[in-house]
Amino acid sequence: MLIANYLKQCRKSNFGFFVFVLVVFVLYAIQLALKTEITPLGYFSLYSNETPKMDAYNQILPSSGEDNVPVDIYQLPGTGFIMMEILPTRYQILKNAENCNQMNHKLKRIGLIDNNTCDCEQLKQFSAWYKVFASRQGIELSNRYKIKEFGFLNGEIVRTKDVE
Amino acid sequence: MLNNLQNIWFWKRLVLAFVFFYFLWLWYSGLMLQNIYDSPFQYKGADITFWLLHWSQLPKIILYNEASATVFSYLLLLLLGFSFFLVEKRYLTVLAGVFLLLYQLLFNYKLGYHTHHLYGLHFALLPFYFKKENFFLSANFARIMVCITYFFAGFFKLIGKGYLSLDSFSNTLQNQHAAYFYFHPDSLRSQFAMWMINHENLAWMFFFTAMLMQLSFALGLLSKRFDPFLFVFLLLFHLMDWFLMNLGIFMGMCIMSYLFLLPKSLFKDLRG
Repeated sequence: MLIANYLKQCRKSNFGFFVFVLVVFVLYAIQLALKTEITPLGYFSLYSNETPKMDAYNQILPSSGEDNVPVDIYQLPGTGFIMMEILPTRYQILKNAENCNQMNHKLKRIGLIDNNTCDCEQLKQFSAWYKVFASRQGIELSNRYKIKEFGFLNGEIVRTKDVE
Repeated sequence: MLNNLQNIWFWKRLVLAFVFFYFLWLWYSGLMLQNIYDSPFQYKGADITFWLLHWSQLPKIILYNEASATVFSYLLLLLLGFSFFLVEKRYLTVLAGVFLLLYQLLFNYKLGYHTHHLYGLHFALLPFYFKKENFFLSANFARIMVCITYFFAGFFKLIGKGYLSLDSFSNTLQNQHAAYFYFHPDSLRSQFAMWMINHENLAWMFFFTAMLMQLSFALGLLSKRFDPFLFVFLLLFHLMDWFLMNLGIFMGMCIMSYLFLLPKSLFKDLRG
């Protein structure tokens, strides 16, 4: 077996490197047990669970005035849109998590709990932050723009909601 | 005919050039440290890397202002460039690797987003951080890490049981492209994704095949016989990640695939 032979050979030829390999493997094992995001395994667990059918699929976007016209973040150069897509999703996950800490349920399992309210307080700055972030990326959003949660289905807007 | 050492420098230059151009692309995409702005949801709670950085005081220096962050970005590119031209100077590559790691950690520090796509660059560069005498060990270790990583991508899909639901991947595509369909309904990506959504069985098969391909990386832990297949699987996975899921940012991980192409003869003279 390749991996077993490799470890044997590693131990024989360079013990220092062998220890390095073991440390990385242990880190991976801990990550696997705790399912945190320290190693790449965190990313690869994406899209693993079933995605249920919904009447609309949400995405937070800037919107001009009261007309509910979303701003096209995909116009940004290269892959610049990705953070404008991912970070609002992260905001939604944190906002819906207990004490705005997505790891709280896992902390509970080992007898710990995060009771602080700072994270939730900080989240209230999301809309203001998103506007500054967008301008840094090249999308200028004046005061008439609002940050809204759009519900899409098959390329149509089916509902909108203001984001605080 | 190149000798083994020249061969190693060829692979090293290939990886460094790829990483260099990948960072130019990130720069063009506005994803360097000077472009990003502190998010209100940095996850500080149990993030060890956040606190290690915080205590080191490095963010205060590198992220002091936009200019200091820009200098850091230039240094990162310069180090990659120097490592390419002075290919035998290992310390330059190690330094470039440290800067790469710092970029990754500081990105997370500012935005609260773990840039997982950069792990591909770390794995690809790892064999060149060590002495050439250890190339056999380090290149094989990087290859094993790649196999473990992709295997777990499949493993998580297996235990996540998304494949038990026929319409799950169609729904994933709807979710992934919710706004993209609105803005770019006529693009090739939208049309293909919509076609998949409308053919749930095919979408399911696509997802299931991707899961099997990822699980097959376990074979790479047992033998090198399957390396040509794993090379193709890795490229295919990221190509479709870009085309179908619009996750082009992960294309940088393709560089790891070179680890499945290294010829056996490359290690012979260096093992002593």
